[in-house]
Amino acid sequence: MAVLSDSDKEALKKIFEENLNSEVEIEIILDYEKNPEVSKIAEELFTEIKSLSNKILINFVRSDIDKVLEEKKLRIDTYGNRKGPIIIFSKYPNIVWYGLPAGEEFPVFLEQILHISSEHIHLPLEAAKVIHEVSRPLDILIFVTPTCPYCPIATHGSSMFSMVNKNIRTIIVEATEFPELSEKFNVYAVPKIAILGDGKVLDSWEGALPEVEFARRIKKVEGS
Amino acid sequence: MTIAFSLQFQKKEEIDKEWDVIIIGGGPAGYTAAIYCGRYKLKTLIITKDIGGLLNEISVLENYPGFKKIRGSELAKLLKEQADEVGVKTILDEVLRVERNGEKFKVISRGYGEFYSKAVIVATGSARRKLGVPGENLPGVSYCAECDAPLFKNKVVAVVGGGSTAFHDALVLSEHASKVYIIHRREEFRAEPILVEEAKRNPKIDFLLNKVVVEMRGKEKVEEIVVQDIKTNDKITLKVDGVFVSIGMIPVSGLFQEMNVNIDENGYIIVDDCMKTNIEGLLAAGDVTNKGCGLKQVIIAAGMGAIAALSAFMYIKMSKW
Repeated sequence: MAVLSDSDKEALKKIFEENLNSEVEIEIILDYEKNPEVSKIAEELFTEIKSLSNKILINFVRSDIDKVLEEKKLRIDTYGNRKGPIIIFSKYPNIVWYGLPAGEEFPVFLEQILHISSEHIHLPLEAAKVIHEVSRPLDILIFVTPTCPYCPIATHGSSMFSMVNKNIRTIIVEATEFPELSEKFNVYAVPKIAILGDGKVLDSWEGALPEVEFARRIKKVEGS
Repeated sequence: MTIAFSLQFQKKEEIDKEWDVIIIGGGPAGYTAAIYCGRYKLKTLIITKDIGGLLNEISVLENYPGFKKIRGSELAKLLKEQADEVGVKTILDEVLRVERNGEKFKVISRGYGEFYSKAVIVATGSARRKLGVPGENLPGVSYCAECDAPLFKNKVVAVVGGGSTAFHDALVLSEHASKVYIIHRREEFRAEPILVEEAKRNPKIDFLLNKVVVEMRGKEKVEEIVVQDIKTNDKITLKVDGVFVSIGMIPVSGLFQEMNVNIDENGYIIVDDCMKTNIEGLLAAGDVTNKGCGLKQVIIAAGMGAIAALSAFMYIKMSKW
């Protein structure tokens, strides 16, 4: 059974035709050993997405996940995750998904493709200015669930920050798929946001903030 | 598994500073007002922190005419699409201040700065009321079952409250949790009987009636709650992994107290039958107002939004207040 309905495929094909400028390359690290069910859906979904535009290039990586993480030096093991699927944009390797962008998050993922292709950053100017000034590598972990309607505000904002400044790495974690990681970061409500520098939690909170407030909060902890 | 989606990809564009109407809040009142304003050919901007407001927290809406069942977030997207089609502009931002500036209003938002309009419609809605008991700030205490229910798979949770929202929350949670307690201070419920019946039939849901939660305890997260019987004053301790508080709403009207808008003793903005406040050109609609006989429902908010839009139109185009 197809993951996307025929009508959604048609709509998406049209959106891609109208809005994609340059090619967008995405790496999907599948994990049939630890997460076979979700990896299978991910492979089907991204095969379907790939078929809708020749400007979307999907590279499936099916080898041993530890080896891949090591080879790609993704620093992902900083937080102890050893499970896929993991999704990374080749042009912006600082935008990472742990797990399938499902439910309320799927539009955010599609928008990321469009934004990256057109190099268009959709942010209030003030937020972009604040983020542009961040000079230290920071990781923004955003824990989400597929049913959380407020989570896309946080995931959209942070992925735009990552496009503005490569020092900001956005890692979006599907909290129910990664229970160990969720437990480690005390995730009991979503969106849960944690700002990390050098592997340490510098700030964390529950709830989506408007982009400017979110940006200022990141800038504020930069020197911590 | 089939994935459905709707996209909100926005191309870069300059946002005008001058508008006929600025609507603050993007729930059913705000977006209905927007759709009507758009159809009245008023140049309309919505400033909202999210698309849909509390609609987003409704897993399944079953009492909005025309839809047998629809997810709240799905209806929110449809409302926005309908507003987009009539030329309404939406920006996601927080309004910090509204001022009367001569014949216009100045609306200051956190991210985009100042905007000006001839009329303002306040549709800021309401927020979940807190219990106000010790331990309520512990992780594991939630106000959005729709968001957080999947995190409580095979866990024991408590829902505090006896209204429709509490029953919605309990039913959503029962899809994930192993046990759901509904704790309510009375024996009767304000919730729609259809929801009460569904909850009573659900084997995972247990009722603790005539009881209130007086304390929440835990080291790093909530681990247990202290529940007191209001008749006997006896206390019991209940082991839980999560608590969902659903004891009613408080209006989000703080911003307008500074403007000397008339507000009642419960914080609701006082409006007349045409949704007019005491400030000329300033209208209010939905949960933030004192209208609607206390029935905080999507349909009521939408109706008020439509009336507010008509009043804005009459004010701007016919100089009638």
